[in-house]
Amino acid sequence: MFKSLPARKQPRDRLLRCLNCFARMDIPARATGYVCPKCGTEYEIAWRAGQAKILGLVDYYKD
Amino acid sequence: MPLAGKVAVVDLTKNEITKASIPEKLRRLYLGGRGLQAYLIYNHLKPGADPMSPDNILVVSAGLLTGAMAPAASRTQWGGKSPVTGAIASSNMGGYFGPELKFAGFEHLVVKGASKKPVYLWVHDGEIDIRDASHLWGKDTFETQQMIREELGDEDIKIGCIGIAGENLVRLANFRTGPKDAAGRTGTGCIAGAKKLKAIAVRGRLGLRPADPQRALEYGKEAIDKIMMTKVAKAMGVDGTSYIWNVTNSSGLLEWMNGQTNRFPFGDWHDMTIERFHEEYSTGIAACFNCTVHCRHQFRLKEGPLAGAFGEGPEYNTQTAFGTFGLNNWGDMLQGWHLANLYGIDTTGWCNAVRGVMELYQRGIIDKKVTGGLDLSWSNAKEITPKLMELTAKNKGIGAIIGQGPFGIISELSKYSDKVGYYILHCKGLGKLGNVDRVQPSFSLQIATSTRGADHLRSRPALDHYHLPEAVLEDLYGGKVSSDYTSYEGKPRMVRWHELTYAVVDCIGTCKFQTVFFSPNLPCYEEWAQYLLYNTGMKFTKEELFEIGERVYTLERMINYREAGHTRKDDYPPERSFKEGLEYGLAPVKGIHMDRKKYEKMLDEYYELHGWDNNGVPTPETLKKLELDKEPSHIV
Repeated sequence: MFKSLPARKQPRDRLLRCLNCFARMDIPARATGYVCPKCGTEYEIAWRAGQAKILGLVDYYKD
Repeated sequence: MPLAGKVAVVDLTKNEITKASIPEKLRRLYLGGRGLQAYLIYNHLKPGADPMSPDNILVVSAGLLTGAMAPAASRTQWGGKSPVTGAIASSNMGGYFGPELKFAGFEHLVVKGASKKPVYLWVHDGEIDIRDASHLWGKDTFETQQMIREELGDEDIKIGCIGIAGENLVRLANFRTGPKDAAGRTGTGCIAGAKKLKAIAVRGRLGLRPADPQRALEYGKEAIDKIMMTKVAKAMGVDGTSYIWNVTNSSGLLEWMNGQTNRFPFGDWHDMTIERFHEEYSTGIAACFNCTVHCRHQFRLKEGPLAGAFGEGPEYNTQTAFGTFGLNNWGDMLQGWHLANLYGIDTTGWCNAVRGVMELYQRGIIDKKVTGGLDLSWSNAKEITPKLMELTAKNKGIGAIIGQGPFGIISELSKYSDKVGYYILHCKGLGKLGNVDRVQPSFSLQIATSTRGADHLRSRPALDHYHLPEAVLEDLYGGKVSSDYTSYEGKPRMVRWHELTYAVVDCIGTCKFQTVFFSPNLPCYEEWAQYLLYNTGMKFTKEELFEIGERVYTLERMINYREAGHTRKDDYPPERSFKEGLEYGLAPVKGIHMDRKKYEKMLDEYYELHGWDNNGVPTPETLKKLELDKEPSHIV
């Protein structure tokens, strides 16, 4: 209850979670787009200090 | 040693200063920082005091470890009775002011009474002088700091000051230090303005020798290594807290146009991303005292009346605040942010007030007769921001209404419609942020029960978004908590745990963003007990620290009960959160709003965990267990 988890030794810089279905996504190096293999949500991807990050949704304006 | 910091009581009416040491008994009960500040407020504030009167107090508190050898131990807590909410004023800022206050020999300043003419305090190496500030009155927060440094002949002096908003008794006025940091919320700048206190300047060379310098150094290094291995530290070191924006915007977790929609309605969302800031405005990134993460953006304005001005920030929260009423690009947001900083206005509170008033205008509840001719359409946000900000700082026209915050706006404008209270989004009188809470029970409960009103820094369980394994959550929170952020299960336990935990963080004086706030891998109770041991020689178990958190949170609740009559009726999110589902978003978000029955059940469980009765009032048994039944004890 009072203890933080140990620091992770493995780099997880390319791992993201899908915001729609929470599945793990392993983003290929330097990719600028990615489709969640589980639910098909399509993302724009950006990079920061070697880490993948979600920039936004490709179909943000679509209902 | 960090324990040597004194309490100074400065009476501006009598022009008297008294100093006292802090007994070990109080350290064991409250540590320092926010904890001892709550103690000082409960003991020194005249019950029922008018927040704008000399009976109110302004308390400035460094954390117990602020300035010491603990990662990011930079924080200062500002408090009193809030002119915005009528309950506890409580705001925490980073930077360099707090460490310097400790180096000058003080941990807490209690400012009482009111001066007849403008003054500032000069706090240095165990001494405090009350100095004339007539020549500083009317100056902005940047000029004020520079003038004091020149006057006292030392570029390393750290200054907390108010701008003209505080001088003009704008309730949303804040206290500022350096180019970025602010005790932003709950109106601390207004309390100072009412006392004619323009600034507090600090400089110290007394040092803070740790109890065990070698172990403090070694353990500090271990903790820093652990912090810097996390993904979140790397993200913060590049993007600051704005790293969050892309995710919340994509998920539909931002409330645009005062919560009417959760899909960006003002053009191309790419213009709001931190990537655009890097491309167009960033000139570097800096850090607060003793921080290795470095999350303070630096920028230079390129256009507009403030072109060429240097600034720092903003945070994700301010990016969200200005963005959600229509400033749809970094250039306009930075102008708004910098103006607010010059005037000394709480950006979160001001943007909340403006959003609410703009919706009233959109719905025809108020018109140009009320706004003084200003067109408050969402599409006109860029044009009206400088004028509205100026009117607010000068306490004039529609600005005199906006600057009062939610209670004042509702009181002034309800004559035009009985729906005004519905559109001004607040909890306990403190304006809500631009984040969606209505799909996430933990966030709704958290903003509603927060002792200072709608806010994220009292208890936000950001971990609720991470979809962590439930075994990890159970281990952390000591009971079952769902990993689904739209679920109600276990969320009272989660919120209460974060309330107590962040109270401990604010007592110690480290940055919340380098704690379990952002990652289960970041420092928590075990590390804090070690920081305390090596720096002060005081041994605390993790359980004892948790109980201190409970004591502090309960004492703040008692202050609110005494000063504002807060009970269960005050522990609800805005009504909109119960009534309007969100039109847009990914699967977890779309169409959802809070369920009132389930919310009531959460409140019951939350009170039970705290040891408060069904009306949200701490029981006599709880007060006794926490040794609060003896307060006010007037030990200091």
